[in-house]
Amino acid sequence: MRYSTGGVRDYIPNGCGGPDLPQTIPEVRAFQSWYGMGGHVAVSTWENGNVWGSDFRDDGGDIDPSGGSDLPDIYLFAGHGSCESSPGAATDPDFIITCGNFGTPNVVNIGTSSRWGNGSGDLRFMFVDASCPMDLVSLANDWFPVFQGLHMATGHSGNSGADALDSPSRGSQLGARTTGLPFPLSWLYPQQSVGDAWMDAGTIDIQSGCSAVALAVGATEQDAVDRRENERVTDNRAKPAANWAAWKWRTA
Amino acid sequence: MPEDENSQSDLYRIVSAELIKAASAITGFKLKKPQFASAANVSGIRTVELIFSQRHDSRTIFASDNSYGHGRKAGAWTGSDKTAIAACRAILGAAKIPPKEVAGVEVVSEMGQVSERVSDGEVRTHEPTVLRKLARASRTIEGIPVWHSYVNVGLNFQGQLGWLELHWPEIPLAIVKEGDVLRALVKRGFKAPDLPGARVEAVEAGFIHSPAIGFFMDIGAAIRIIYSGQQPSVGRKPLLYLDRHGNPVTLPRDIEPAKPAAGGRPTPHPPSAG
Repeated sequence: MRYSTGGVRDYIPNGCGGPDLPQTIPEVRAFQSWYGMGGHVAVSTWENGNVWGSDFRDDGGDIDPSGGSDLPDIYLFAGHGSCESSPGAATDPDFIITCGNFGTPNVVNIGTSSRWGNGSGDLRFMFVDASCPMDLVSLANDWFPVFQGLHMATGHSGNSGADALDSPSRGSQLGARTTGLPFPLSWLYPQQSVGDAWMDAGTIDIQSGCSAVALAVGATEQDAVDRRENERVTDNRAKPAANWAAWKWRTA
Repeated sequence: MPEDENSQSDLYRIVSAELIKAASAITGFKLKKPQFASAANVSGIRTVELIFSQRHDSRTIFASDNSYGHGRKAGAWTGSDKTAIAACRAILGAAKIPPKEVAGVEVVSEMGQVSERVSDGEVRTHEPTVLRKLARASRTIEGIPVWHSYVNVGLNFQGQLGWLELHWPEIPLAIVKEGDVLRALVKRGFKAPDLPGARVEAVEAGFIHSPAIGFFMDIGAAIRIIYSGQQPSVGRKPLLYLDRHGNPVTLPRDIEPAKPAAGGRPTPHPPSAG
C-alpha cells in the first residue's frame, strides 16, 4: 500500500498561533518506520510548513502530486484539530489545522471541504491524530459526505477539558498494530483491524472523557459494521458505497 | 529476521515449555502442539485459533483467540462488570503482578453506532449499543502513576478470555526512588516553564516507559506538565516531561524513527478538479 504522513510541530514560528506540538514529528517518523517495515511505500512525508491546508481540500489540492492527502491509500495527519469547549451540536463543524507555507487557509472544514476517494483520489484510510475532529455528536453530518471511496477514518471526540495530549505513541502504535509486520513478527505482534488498532492506540495519552473513534462506511449496515470491526489496511477491499456509516468509540 | 531453522528449533526446546506453562496459567489457553516463533524481542506460541506471545525485555504479554470480538464466532462480553473485573484480577494474580501496584480495575465499554443515508441531505442515526466490555487495570508505585502500564482483558460471549494485553514492565528501584524525589519537588511547588501560546493545566510526577509493541524498553521517572492552549477550540495539548533539574527527558522509544525527507516541497501547478 502507498502511504503518506503530515506532521505539524511548528505553529508559532510560522505565525499560526499555537501552541507548538513537538511530538508530532517523532510520531509521524515512527509511523513511517512501522509502515516501511510492513513493506508499504511512502508517497510523501512532509512536515511543518510543507503540510498544507489544501492537501486536505477537494479543490484539487488533495490530489496535488507533491503531497495531496487523496494520492496515497493511507494518510496519517498529526497536528492540531478543533475541539469544542463544551458538548457540541450535531451541526458543529470539525477542523484540521495546518500551518503551511503554501495552500492556505490552514484551517480545513472537513465536512464541507474534504472529499476522499473521489475522482482520481485513492485514499482508503484517513488517520487523524489531531483531537477532536471526529466529534461524536456531529459525526454523521460532518463525515458522511467525506466518504467518496474512503474506507475508514479514525480520530478523536472530546472537548477542551477532555483532549488528546501531544504524544508520539498513538500514531506509532497505530502503525505497529496495522501495518502487517513481516513473519514471524506478524503473529507475535498480530496485525489488528484498523478499528481495533485505533481503539487501543487512540486511547494512549488522552484525557479522561476523550474518545478514540473509528468510522467506516458500507453499502449495507452489515457491510459498514464488518468494515468497522474487521477491515485491515492490507485487505485490499473494494471501495465501499457510503449508504451506511458504522462507528465505534472507546472513552478514556 | 536473522533466525534460521536451527536456532528457532533450539529456542523452541529452551523456552517453549515455559511459554506453554505461562499461557495456561495466565490465560487458561491450552495450546497443544503449538507452533513456535521468536524474533527480535518477542517469542510466542500459537495454534490455529490461539496466540500467546511474550516480550523478552519486559513484562509484556499478548494473548488472543481469533474467534473473539464483536460479530465474530465467539463474540464479546457485554454482561456484568463484575465478571470482567474478576477475570482481570485473576490474570493480574496469575501473572504475579504485585497487588500493591494495582491502582484499580475498571470496565471500559466500547460503544458502536450506525447511521443510514436516507437522502443526500438526510441521515438517520440509530441508538448506540455496547459492542464489548473490557476490564482495564491501571498502575501506581507507592502512589505514583505509571502512565503507560495497563492490563486490558476482553472476554468472549461466554465469559472466557478472548484477548489480553498486559504491559507492566518492571521498574528498577533507582527509578522508583527518583519518582519519589520528583513527587516531593511537585509537592513543593515545582515551577513549570512557560510555553508560548499555552498555560499550565496540570503538573504531576510519574513513571514513563516504552509502549507495548516495539523494539526498545526505555524506563524513567519524570515530571509531566500538561498545557492547554490559549485558544480552547484548538485541540491536542502540549506535554513536557522534565527531570529533577527541569530539563527535558528523552521520551521512551518503540522503534527507531525514519529519517526525515530531504529538501523542500515544490510549489504545485495550478490545481485541477479532483
